[in-house]
Amino acid sequence: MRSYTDLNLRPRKNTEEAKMMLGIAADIGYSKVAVSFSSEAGKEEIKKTRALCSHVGLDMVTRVDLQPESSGALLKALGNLRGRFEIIAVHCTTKDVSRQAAKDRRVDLLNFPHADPTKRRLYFDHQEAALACKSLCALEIDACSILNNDPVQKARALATMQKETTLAIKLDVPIVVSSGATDRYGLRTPRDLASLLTLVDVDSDSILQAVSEIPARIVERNRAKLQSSFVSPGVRIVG
Amino acid sequence: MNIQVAYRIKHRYVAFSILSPAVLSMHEIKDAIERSIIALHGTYGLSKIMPEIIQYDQEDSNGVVRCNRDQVLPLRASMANISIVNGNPVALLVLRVSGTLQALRAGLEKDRRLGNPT
Repeated sequence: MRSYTDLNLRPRKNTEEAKMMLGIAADIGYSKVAVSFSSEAGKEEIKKTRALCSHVGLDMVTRVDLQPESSGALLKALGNLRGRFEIIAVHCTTKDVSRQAAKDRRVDLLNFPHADPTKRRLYFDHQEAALACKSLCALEIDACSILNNDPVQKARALATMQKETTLAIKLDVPIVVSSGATDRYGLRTPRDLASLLTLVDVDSDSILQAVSEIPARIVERNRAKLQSSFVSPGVRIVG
Repeated sequence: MNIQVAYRIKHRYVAFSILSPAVLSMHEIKDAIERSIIALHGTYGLSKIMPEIIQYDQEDSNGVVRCNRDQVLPLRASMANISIVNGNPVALLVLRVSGTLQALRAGLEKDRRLGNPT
């Protein structure tokens, strides 16, 4: 049986709403969720959220979202945080950050946020796709950027996403769709979330992989890397 | 004269549940689904999907919508696209899809027995 993963939940810290949200996520079919923490989050905070997740039967994955202003800041943050978080997503707001993120093997997800609706956002271009396919980065489609827009902005966002997904598919860059939910009303069932990919021209036969196999593979790979027995890809201490 | 089976329009029945702080009427939900389909797929898309709410429980906030058999994905995407109805935050969660109402009800009953709301 297929198991589903939502790689981007942002529940408010230790509130009743967070408990309810995680409970609903488990009820609607997710087995793993990535909870986004700030880079300063302590072990205690992560432990509490993990306890909430395991109480409702969810496997929690730790995630951090980076929004560096330069490629140097990104490299510094990656050095500090790669060993602490299972998923690292980079919000690409400048070209040099997106290029660096696309070629760095420590980055898991590339996210192109729609920060300023009056401006055309930075997009995932051919060069980034070529770099990302070698570094195993995945392109993240955030459902909340489709849902929380007025119709004209939504149409523009979809048009840009269509170009990005076409490129990603052409160059074999994995695509991940996540809810980006901050409360229970932002949650969608895994299949509903996957169905949103049909709006950005992803083949209906492969949409379910974006909420199941691909995110699970990323989590599994990073968990293996975070183990003390890991030496380098394909090499680990067994004895 | 009966219509031959091959020419009959075939349907899918989609059971859904609503998450919202407000109690929404069937008319509001029907309107929200149709508006969302028009926004994403246009009037032509609406004519292809042909959504019809055939069962709705306002107290339990769940219902069943019928659509054309090969239009389940566009309907799901349109339902997932609904985030606000009359100023209230809303999530429409598809619980199960089936080819007959009888099988849909049996499936939902089975899920309930197993304690699996999906």
